Amino acid sequence: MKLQRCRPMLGTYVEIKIGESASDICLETALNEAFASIAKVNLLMSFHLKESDLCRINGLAHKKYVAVDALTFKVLRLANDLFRYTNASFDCSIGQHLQKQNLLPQHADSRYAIKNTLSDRIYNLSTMKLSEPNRVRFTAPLTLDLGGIAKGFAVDLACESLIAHGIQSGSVNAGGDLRVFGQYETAIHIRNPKRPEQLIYAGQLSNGAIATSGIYFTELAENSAPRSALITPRTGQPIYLNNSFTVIAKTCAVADGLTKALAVDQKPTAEYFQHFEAHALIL
Amino acid sequence: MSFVFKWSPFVTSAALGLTTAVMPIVSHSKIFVSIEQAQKLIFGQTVLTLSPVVLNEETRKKMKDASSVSHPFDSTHMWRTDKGEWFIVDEVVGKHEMITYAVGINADGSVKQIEILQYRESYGHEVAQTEWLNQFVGKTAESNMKLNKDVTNISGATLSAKHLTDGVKRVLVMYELALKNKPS
Repeated sequence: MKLQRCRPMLGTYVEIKIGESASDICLETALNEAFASIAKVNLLMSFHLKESDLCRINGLAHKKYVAVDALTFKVLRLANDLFRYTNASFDCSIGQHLQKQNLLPQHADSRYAIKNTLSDRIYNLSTMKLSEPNRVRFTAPLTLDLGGIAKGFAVDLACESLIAHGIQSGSVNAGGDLRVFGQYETAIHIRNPKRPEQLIYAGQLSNGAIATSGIYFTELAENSAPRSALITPRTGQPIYLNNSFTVIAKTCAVADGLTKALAVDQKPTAEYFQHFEAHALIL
Repeated sequence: MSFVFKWSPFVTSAALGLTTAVMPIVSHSKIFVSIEQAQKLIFGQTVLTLSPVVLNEETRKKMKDASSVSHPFDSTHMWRTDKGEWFIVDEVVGKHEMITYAVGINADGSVKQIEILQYRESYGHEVAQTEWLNQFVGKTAESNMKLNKDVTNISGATLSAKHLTDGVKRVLVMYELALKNKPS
């Protein structure tokens, strides 16, 4: 390994490693560009930044078409595909259920207050309409949270940036959402959800991604009710299982998104994994 | 350049409890860059002068109140440029992690860049300070696996960066109280 760097981003720690590269390139430039692409995804798709594309569509798209960045559009299109193929087990319109548990902030805007009066009824992502070029409309008051796939997407974008800058092998790991690229196979480990201090060797991966979802690091404030960022979209109910849900796929965005469907269905043999050429593991 | 996605599974959901694949670790540590490297990454060739400050009790209390970080702040690892920019090395201790990081502060008091110098992950309060220093204590059933080399790609480790955010907040409070108007 030639170089590795770590910066706090996306609410977690993002590690970029460079193995081999073309000889005539500036590694620091490649690294900075890769981190910059992650920062861009954060600016566009963060629930915490009021000016992000995500907050703008959450605030306005139930009233009119909202124009978004091409990257945001790409993620929303993938979200739509995942929603369709998983028969709604993946659904990123679960924002209000996370807000109820205080896992996401309540933006103080009146438009959110209006929507919250309607939140007893559960709408799903079928009410999101995507229109070329890069426009989004909801036909119901949805609150999207892209936490389920944007992190994976940021990892993919950073890998593409590294490759475009002449890096031949390396990896990007954003808090366990991980993609490796290059010639060699890499050993992959998954944290044991029952005993997080143990790692489980999961096999060898090359040119692919792995993502794991679980609730074992959701820190509890004293005397507070249990919380879970894993939600069953059809009912809005949090999932409190002590398991972790891992998916291995070509891209990290797909792997990340499919972990949510796996947590809901708990069926590693579900057909949609084949459709996305993915592999599922429940530990 | 085209790559082929390849996955050679070792565990499957059907083979759970496969203890031979379990690798106990007490802590897991990575060094990313040295202080000198981080200085160059954040400030390039700009000359930095070591400028430790002595913080009074009142300042320390305000730093703690504003950030909810109680771990004592070591004010010896601080450098400044002749333009009033600062480079500060700090450490945050979370329930599961201990992180040494550097923050560059612009002359207007805004954060220029953050680099992680060292990341140590561990579990439980019972882990003694000395054990933090052991990079890898456990052994694996995969006897040919070199831990330092291979235990790098871990999935399912979504540690939040909240403690680090609090740490940076504390540094910025200190900047306001003790560094902002300090004559060079």
